Amino acid sequence: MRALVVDDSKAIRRILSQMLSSIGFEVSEAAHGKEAVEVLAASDPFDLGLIDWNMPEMNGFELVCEIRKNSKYDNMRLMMVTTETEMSQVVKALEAGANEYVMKPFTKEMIYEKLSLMGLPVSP
Amino acid sequence: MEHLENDISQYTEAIWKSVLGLDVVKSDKVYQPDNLENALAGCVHITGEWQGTVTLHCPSSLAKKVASIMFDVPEDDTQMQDIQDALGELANMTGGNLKALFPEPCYLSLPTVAVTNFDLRVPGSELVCLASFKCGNKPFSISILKKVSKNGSG
Amino acid sequence: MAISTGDFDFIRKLVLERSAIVLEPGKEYLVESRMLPLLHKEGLESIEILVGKLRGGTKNGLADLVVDALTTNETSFFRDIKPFEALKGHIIPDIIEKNKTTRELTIWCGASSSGQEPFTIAMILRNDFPQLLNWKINFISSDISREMLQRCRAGKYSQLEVNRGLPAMLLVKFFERVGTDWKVKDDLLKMIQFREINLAEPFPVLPKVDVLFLRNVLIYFDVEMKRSVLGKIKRVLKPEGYLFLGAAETTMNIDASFERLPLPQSGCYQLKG
Ligand SMILES: C[S@@+](CC[C@H](N)C(=O)[O-])C[C@H]1O[C@@H](n2cnc3c(N)ncnc32)[C@H](O)[C@@H]1O
Repeated sequence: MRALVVDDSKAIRRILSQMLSSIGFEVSEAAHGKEAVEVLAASDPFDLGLIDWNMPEMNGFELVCEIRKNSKYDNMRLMMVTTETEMSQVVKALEAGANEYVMKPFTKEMIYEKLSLMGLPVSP
Repeated sequence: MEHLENDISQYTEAIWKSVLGLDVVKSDKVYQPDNLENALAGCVHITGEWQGTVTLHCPSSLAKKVASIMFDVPEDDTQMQDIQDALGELANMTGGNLKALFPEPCYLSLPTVAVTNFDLRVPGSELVCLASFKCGNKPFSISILKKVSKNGSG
Repeated sequence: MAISTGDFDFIRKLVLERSAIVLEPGKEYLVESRMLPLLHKEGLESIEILVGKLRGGTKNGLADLVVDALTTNETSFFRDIKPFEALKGHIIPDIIEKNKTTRELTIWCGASSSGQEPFTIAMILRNDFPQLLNWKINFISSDISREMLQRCRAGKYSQLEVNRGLPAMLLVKFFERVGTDWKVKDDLLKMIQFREINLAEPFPVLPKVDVLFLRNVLIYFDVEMKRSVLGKIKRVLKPEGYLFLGAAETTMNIDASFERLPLPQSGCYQLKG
């Protein structure tokens, strides 16, 4: 399984990457939406994207819209991991094509439980 | 604004516990840096229906500890850049969570981190809430400044 | 604060007698840490003073608070997932077929803690089975802990709680924001009747149950009590009803009248035919 972690905070990228690689994911990182688009274009398909909302260059919501425009990425599950916690924002992200939503702060359990909900394997 | 202070506490405890595994407790003593060069502040601005700033003030020793946990390196090996990243992210989570309590729509800025003198007065803004905490023996405070003259400056 | 052997023994027996929860020697630290908030709230200085009051029986209700404080309430939405997949994929469709003439469905959640489990079930019923809308649904949810029952009736969860296991789509559909909390919407809340039922005591009169969730509570009881509870369950469960136990629980070597269904990791049992 391959995952792309997109967050402007290096600390958060490290924490999420660590959580995913410890359950067998091969993880790539991007610091904002634009970089994520470049990584996506240059690599094999990803199974999962964890995406922050507020980022420079291109934000996570725009990134989700961008990814969902391209049917090539239909099998990529997208989960927002963000401090945006208004109900309206959750609705907006789901409507744009995000599959799941985690509100920061998060723990390992939360991330793993959400992955299971999306049908992804979570075995250490 | 006692209400807001409780909300800050609830979010702060949750953030520090889930992200860092650290317990924080409310404290009556406002954090006062003994040495200005040792004080850091991570802040995010909120714009939109409600305008203001959420700032996390702490001694650099605490910021170092936070970075060492988030980057999983010994405290002495933490780089300034990583300390800023970690503190910025804490401010981002705090401000982001609080933003949802204000009238919609509001927007969150990207976090900034600065070595700062602890001055809560900003022209055109008033301090609406100040909550102080202790993490172990290290103090920190979270302030909320509200812009009073909405649409006032450019 | 250290607890004396005598005081620990007193609390151990009290809790065993009232709730059947077994506190083995070695759990002193647990009793100490769980008593702290209670001491604080009741304005008592030490466990010794607390036990003194309990022995004297001067303050009614105090014993209940002690038992309440020693229940473990860990839970989450869609906990372990598989049981709920089985519920949605097999069990509810099966019951809909079986009960189609009566159009009645009875569910009992016997250790509901803060409510995530019953609300998970209720969301599945509402979200995935619109045909049940004009059925009579008896949904009972119970626990021994009054504090937990209060939480259930309020239906309010923190951000950390809704972040755990709850699909975002269901959050959007069945919750609303109230300040920092997320509250279950009224029509879902109203589906469920919350009651105080102590599993260690004789059960009250209940309608015959189609689906019984009794997850992660038998583990706190000794074998005799497990057997006694399963015995009582046999009498409230419909002959073809379903029983869900927690991942670490089984009827094996306790009660031979149940058999585990071949639904992977669901912890689902039925009475042998
Ligand atoms: C770990 S929780 C299980 C919650 C939920 N069923 C789950 O699996 O996520 C255990 C619950 O059992 C309750 N409990 C303990 N002893 C009980 C008894 N004698 N009668 C009824 N409930 C009891 C506790 O109050 C607690 O809420």
